[in-house]
Amino acid sequence: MILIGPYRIEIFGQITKNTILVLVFAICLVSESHGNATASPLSCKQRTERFLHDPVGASVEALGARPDEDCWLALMRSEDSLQSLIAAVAKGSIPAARYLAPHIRELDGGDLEDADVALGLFSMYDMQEFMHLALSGVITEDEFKSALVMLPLTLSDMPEAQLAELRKRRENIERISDPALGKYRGLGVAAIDSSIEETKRAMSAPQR
Amino acid sequence: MSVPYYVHSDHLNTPRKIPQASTGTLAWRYDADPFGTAAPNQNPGGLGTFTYNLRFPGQYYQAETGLNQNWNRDYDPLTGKYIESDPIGLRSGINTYTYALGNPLTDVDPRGLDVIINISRQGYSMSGGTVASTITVYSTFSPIAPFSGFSMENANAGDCGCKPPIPAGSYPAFIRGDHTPNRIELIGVPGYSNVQIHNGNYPRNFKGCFGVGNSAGPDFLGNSVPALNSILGIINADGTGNITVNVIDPSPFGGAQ
Repeated sequence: MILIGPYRIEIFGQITKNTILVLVFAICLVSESHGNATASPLSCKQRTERFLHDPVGASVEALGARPDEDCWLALMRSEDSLQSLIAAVAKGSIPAARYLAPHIRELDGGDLEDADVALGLFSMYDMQEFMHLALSGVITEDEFKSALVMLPLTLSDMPEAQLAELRKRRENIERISDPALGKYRGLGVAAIDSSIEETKRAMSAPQR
Repeated sequence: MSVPYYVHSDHLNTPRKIPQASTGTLAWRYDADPFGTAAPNQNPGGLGTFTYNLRFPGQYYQAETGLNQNWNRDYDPLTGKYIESDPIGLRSGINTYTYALGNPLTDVDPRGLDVIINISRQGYSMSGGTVASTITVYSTFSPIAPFSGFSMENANAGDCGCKPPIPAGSYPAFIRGDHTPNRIELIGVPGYSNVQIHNGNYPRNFKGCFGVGNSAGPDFLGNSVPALNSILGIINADGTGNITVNVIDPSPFGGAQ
């Protein structure tokens, strides 16, 4: 607006100062009106982008008062957005974990595996929160156990590293003393022990 | 009034028998040898001549020429070879006329110009928890050596652990570049999504994907990253971007078991 004034004065010398002020006022009104338009409810795409831009700092409510199915479907259809969400969970974002967890059962194949691996990594940041997802029924018992033993595939072919990671998870879950989580403590330890045994068996079994 | 028929195919999806749906009487039968040199019987049940022109996967029989059109080339069933050399000449190897690396009992070449990944199921493991397979990968475009290794699926796939192994069939595929190593994702698997071929050692690493390895044990794959990298190397050397994954059930005729 400041720039427009001088140009107008130079190009149209006959325009008076009052005319310019009226013009500036009109532009301000248009600008204000445009501002209101952008303040209107954001689309799912916009909310998703905003959330994924800062999944640690943002709350899950940033996706809407109740993260609706439409937003989830929009996110799930975009492989980039889904992988961003999964990456945020793997990095310990509680809002991202809370958003992904109830939708895990809607994933399939490699995306489902990625989500499980991410929740398993999330448990290393906040085991208590992860166990509460199970206690509150957001994830099923099977999903809870599965995520705990789904190690990142970067550990493939490295049984010693796999065992070390499983033992770390076991230690983490054993530290949880909340009696309300006792059932999941037991389930988790049993699942991890089973995977430790599976790993040891594979290390000693003959191969083709 | 149209009469419905069923098409029965073998483990490679080659049509073998077509009975009339209502009576079960065979209307068409194809008992060809591995290279498809014999013509189908077009009237085995006395119902009259029944014409059906699909042959090996991707091939369409042309009565005018006696050849099977195979997208990029024509296959001569009398000789068991393509009549045209591979479009890229000698770079495809010593014999540029062979079909499916000369191994039509286990391999198929639906487009005549592809990276072909054949996952040949051997059956369920002793525990019943996995389906064990062998996997062969080759390029029809590049002389790079084929890959042979092992594959594994979780027999109880999906989040519920209630999905059976993915249906046998021939699927186009593409490279997923958002993982390290990259993955190969199948397209159009009925009832499944994001079916991928990737590294991993145990059944729990796969919930609707195929694992690969250079070695295998009971419910286990070893050296999975090198195996996947070998496959990706063939795809890179091929460079066409055309990838076909054939998921092949155990042969009822005594092939892969």
